[in-house]
Amino acid sequence: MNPINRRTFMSHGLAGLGSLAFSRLFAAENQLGIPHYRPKVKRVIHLCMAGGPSHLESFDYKPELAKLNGKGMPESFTKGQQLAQLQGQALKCMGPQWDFAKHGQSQAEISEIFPNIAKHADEIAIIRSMHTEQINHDPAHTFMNTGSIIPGRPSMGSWVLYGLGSESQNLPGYVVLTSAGGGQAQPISSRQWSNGLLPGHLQGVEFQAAGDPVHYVNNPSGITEASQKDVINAINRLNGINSKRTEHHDIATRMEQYELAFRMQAAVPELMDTKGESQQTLDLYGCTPGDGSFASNCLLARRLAERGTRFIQLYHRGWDHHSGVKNGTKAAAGYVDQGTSALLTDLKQRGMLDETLVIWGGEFGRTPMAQGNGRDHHIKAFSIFLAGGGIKGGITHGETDDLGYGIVKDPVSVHDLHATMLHLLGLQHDALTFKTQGLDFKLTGVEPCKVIKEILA
Amino acid sequence: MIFKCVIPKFATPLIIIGILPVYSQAEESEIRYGRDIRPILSDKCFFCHGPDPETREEGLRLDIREEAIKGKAIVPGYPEKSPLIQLIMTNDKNKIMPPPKSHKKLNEKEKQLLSDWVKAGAEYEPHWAYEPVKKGELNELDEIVENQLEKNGLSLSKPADANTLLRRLHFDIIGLPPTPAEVTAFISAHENDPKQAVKDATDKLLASPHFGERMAVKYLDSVRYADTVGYHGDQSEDVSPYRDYVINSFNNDLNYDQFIIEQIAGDLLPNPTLNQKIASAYNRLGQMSREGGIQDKEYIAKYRAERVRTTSAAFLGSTMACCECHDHKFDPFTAKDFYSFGAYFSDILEKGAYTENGSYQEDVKKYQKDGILIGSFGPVIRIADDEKKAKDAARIQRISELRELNLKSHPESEKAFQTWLADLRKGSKDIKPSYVPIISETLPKQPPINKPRKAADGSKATYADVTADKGPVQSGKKSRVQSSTGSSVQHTINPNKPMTVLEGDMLYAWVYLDPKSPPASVMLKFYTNSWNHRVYWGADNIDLGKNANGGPSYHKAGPLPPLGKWVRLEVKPSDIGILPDNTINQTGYIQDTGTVYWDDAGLVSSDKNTPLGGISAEIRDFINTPNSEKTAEVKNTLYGYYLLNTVATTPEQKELQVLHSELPKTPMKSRTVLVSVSAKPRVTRLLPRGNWTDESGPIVQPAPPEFLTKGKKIGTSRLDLAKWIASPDNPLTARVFVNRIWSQFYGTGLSKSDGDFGFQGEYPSNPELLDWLAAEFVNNDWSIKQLIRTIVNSQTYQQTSTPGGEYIKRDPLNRQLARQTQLRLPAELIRDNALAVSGLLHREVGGASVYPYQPSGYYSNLNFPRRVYPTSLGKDLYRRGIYTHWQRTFVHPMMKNFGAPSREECVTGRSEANTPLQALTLLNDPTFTEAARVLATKLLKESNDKLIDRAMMTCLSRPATEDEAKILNELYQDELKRFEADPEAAVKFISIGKSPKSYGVNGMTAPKLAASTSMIRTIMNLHESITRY
Repeated sequence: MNPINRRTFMSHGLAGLGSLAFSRLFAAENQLGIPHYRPKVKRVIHLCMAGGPSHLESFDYKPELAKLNGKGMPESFTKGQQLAQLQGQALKCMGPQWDFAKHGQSQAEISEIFPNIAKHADEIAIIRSMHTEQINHDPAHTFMNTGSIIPGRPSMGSWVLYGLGSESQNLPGYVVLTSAGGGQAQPISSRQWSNGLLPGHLQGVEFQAAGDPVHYVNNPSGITEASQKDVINAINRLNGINSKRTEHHDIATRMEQYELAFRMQAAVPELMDTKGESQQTLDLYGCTPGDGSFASNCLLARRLAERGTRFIQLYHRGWDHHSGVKNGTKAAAGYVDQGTSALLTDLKQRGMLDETLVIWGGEFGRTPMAQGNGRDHHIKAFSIFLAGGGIKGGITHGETDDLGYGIVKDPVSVHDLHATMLHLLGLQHDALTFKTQGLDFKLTGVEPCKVIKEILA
Repeated sequence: MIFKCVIPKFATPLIIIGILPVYSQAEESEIRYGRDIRPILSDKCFFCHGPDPETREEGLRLDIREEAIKGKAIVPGYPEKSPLIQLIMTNDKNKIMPPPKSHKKLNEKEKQLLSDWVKAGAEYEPHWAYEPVKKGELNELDEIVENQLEKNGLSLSKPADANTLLRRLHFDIIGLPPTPAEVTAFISAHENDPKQAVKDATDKLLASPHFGERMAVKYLDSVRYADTVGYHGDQSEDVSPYRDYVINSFNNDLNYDQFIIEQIAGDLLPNPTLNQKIASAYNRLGQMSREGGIQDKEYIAKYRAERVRTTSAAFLGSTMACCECHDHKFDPFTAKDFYSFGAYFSDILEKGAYTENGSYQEDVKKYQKDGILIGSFGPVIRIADDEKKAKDAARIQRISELRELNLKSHPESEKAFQTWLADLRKGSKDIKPSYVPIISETLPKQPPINKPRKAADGSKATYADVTADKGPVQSGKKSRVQSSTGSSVQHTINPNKPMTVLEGDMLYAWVYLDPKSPPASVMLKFYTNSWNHRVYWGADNIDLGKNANGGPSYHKAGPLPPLGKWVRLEVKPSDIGILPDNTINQTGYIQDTGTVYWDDAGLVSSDKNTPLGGISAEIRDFINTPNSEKTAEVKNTLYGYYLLNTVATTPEQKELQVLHSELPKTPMKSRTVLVSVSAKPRVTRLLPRGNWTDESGPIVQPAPPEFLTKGKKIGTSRLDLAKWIASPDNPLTARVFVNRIWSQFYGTGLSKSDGDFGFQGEYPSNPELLDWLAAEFVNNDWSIKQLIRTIVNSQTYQQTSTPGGEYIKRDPLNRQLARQTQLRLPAELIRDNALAVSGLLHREVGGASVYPYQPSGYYSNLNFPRRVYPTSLGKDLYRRGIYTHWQRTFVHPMMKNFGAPSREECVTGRSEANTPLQALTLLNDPTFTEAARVLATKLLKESNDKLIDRAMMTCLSRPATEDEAKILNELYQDELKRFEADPEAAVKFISIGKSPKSYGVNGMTAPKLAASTSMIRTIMNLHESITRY
């Protein structure tokens, strides 16, 4: 490095590196031919309803089940099937605990526990025919995120970053936020946002509700911004000297990372500072920003989206209703209904909904059979909804049987969902591969899967 | 909406492992099937034309020459007549191979290679990794490397500088930097005789107890060692003795073959030693679950599959994972091989679901002997920490000596003790064992009693407090009566404070069973990190924890106690799986039908912290028996108790007081470790498509992969498997291991796919070298230290890693070995280095895992139970990274940011990605700020001169150049000005970390210390500080 006046180095360095940063680091090599086709959306916001929301109290109304309330579950449905906690017990039907109404022009049937989401009936595509392979929370989340039940595979967010990189110059490209309320808070492992086999910079970064939003993002106590800047400046000047001596490209990358770290130290507080949000916006979300609630996380999700973050996951841990499914679903919905609705509205108002894919759903559904006054885990059928760019609003895709137990029409696998998500991002699921230890890995695994064309606009 | 997706173009190569073009070593003109052809066929063709019949197209397989010729794909000698060549060359989109839908493409060079190969006769050769190890003609590491370099027109680079070399040896062998004094000494020794200097340094480092710690970093990744179970609640499990076993084995240079055997089957060796039993924890390190509602069988299948994946990858460098569902697409492993391999582990005594749903394959009582206990996650043994015990023994020895001395020189002080003892004896009838009540009216604050929970059948339960006029009361003014018309009813109590159980403790609860309406049974249950600790009296009709094989979750204590009188129910915690040092967080009281009066419950504790609890039963006996002949230990303990409760009057007593206070407050905190216990093997079936609910597959017997045994009969016990893996005839074991060691000393293995030696793995960059190393290794009785000596004493190892641009451009990943490699230190070593240079590092080897600083709230997503991070105290804050508590679902963020894996599965290589989170960690993690401050304090205390040079020498083993010194000095001056203007900020900055602050002497003001800390923090953030050159 030329002996530049160090006072000018920092600004010079920042300008010079502005075009590199995350975007350059976060991308698969061009040999993958990316994007494979014209993308419909730039980013994904996954609202993960952790615990397994009951489809029967949310998006899949079953009047026949109501008629059988309290009666034995017909054995033809359940014989030889894997159950979770109900294994080996007498199985009794439990009718839907909440009323449903038809909403919007599309007349989509949505439960009364979601008065706000229901207002978006014509913008969302409900899938009533999701199914999964894993019946317990931890492996089911792993399957939903990585398409595999073997721990150590990359999360979908990491895959997307690997394929497309991030557009943010100074915030992570894959961010995770969590909240809880409305039911037993199931643990969530950081495995769910792990880069797995992919390089470490593709991992999801969890933002914390309390303390430093990102680990180590604040200066040490007693260190001012100017002081930190001088230290970073000196580090990079010294690294520059070393770089000349050792000619190792890693040093150049490391110097960029220090610049980036410094920018992140400013960008994260700026992101978290919601002072600039109008009262109208705050009222829309109905939260106190920064309170760690789901709604507050939704607001942050919008702010992250605006700043170029590619993949945003909000976990709400509150949907595991083994008992008290009636009050439980209502309570959990109370935590997420307004936030979800506000996010859709807010994105739309800002013209961002068209370039965003919003996915709302859990890791599995719940049994039509009662478990006391609750419901057990269920993998044969569950409901989710999608909204945003490339999604056909107002449709309900797939169908379950009269009791909401099995799928009778258009089953959608987790891999189908992944393939569809990648498709909307301009990525062909079976061409997005990563080779390691001799094998080509894919998000969608080895079994055949398909893009759900019917829900695409 | 339309927009363009920005796809950045690369200007410089990035470290994205796996997609960088590999330097081709094929400069020689001769085509070698294994090196040049098979990788192409395997990657592009075998999926449809390979070993797996299920995905085979047109019945054609290309992995066997005869089949390829018979299938008319290849006409040897005639590429133009060979459809294989025609179809890869064609432009016809409907015919071209591989078909476009496979997304596989051959480049021109590959097409030409295939064509040339067919022309030359299409000769196949067996896969290199499955052939016996062959030594070539050359018999020196350097000769072999130079021979290949020469063929490619290259030569070795010049040797590295002495200080660089010493740092390299230190980081590679012990993982800690040399001190400035060691550097100076080495430089002069190296000037005299470079070879001897390296030899001596190597020997010294290999003899260091820190060698094992360094070696364990990578090794523990491959055996997926962690301190928690991983799945769902990710509860803690105690396995740290296994980690210490690994460290000690490296330190003792345990032969690698024996090392393997002990880990896979140590428990099956004749008269296994304690270490061999601990080694068998290897089989039990996989993830486990106690998520509610999980199925026993499903998790048995998961554990089996994980053991196959880990054992095949860790020791055999093979990826058998795919075979859980189907025959391998590329390698000759079949699905049957997968399950036969898994069957070797079917004897391991375990449950699938560590909940009520799970059961052991046999009655565990049979195995609760020879020190085997049944813990919350299956069999464990308790180990004695000899080293710590020795320290305590030394203290006790000194105590005896001092006591003698005191008796002689200060007899009057002894009289005071005798008087005290006599007083104590007088009142001794009142000395009770120490009760720690859970519920008792003597407690200042009553813990809440949760409402009785009704049974599932909805039968009615009633409860009330009764006073002595209304019903029986055991103590105090009231008892609690509870009745149930139907099945069981329970109430739970959360103790005011979690209670830690010690050896010899007893849990109790008082009950009075109503003779008019007796219950069928009564049960006590306790929550540690699960509820699986239950004991019952009477009929076995309470469903909770019910399990045909009994065990700690359903322990039968005996018949129903007598009716119509108060009875104290008692249970030894170990009978219900609560081991010493476990903590009880909740308790539950259950009855099946009838009416029961419940009163006080609690723990009879031997904890010295509880009133009079320090006086053990033995000492109480001593007090109660005049002039009893008791052991010196008892006398000393009693005297210690006296001393700690009185004022020392003599110098001996003062020292005794210190020694007594240093003795562990509780009996030696001994650790437990999960172990393998061999029980009746479970039946293993081949699961079609890996589906555990499908029991239609054939039963399989334990056997290694068929193609590797070549018809040789291998026995069916785990020990047979271990011996087969550890055999010199196994073509994979030694190769895989030396390749991994090579990557530790060279950055990349000779075959870079060090977890896959199958057809898709990389052909070694220097196969002669790999085989020579493997052969040498086996010939030297699998001595790992000897292997390392061979590597580091070579010129190849000692080359510079900074030879100049041409070398790096020609061979960016250094596969040709014409230089050394610059390696970023692994996460653990980055921590160790900062602590070591500052002097903060506490160098104790082994012990329970520790909890260094961690950002608060990091565990907030954990549950069952909720977790609070128990930050360590004192010296444990400054242990090496390898001892940091490894929470699988939330690995310590510092470690994670530098690429440490979660260890949920076997990992043979870490991500080396370079991220801003790493910069944030080094800049802002208090560990590093504190280390900088402590080093600054030390250097300023020594002298005020040449601060920058001394800091550079300490941190980087070299002085600063003029340019560097200028930059650091400018920074120092600016920081000094800033801190002088704001001394409060300076004090804040130097107060980070729990180590004591010291300034104010020798002109060391707070601003000066703070500015020096800034300067050193800068050095500690340098690329050079985290790189081994």
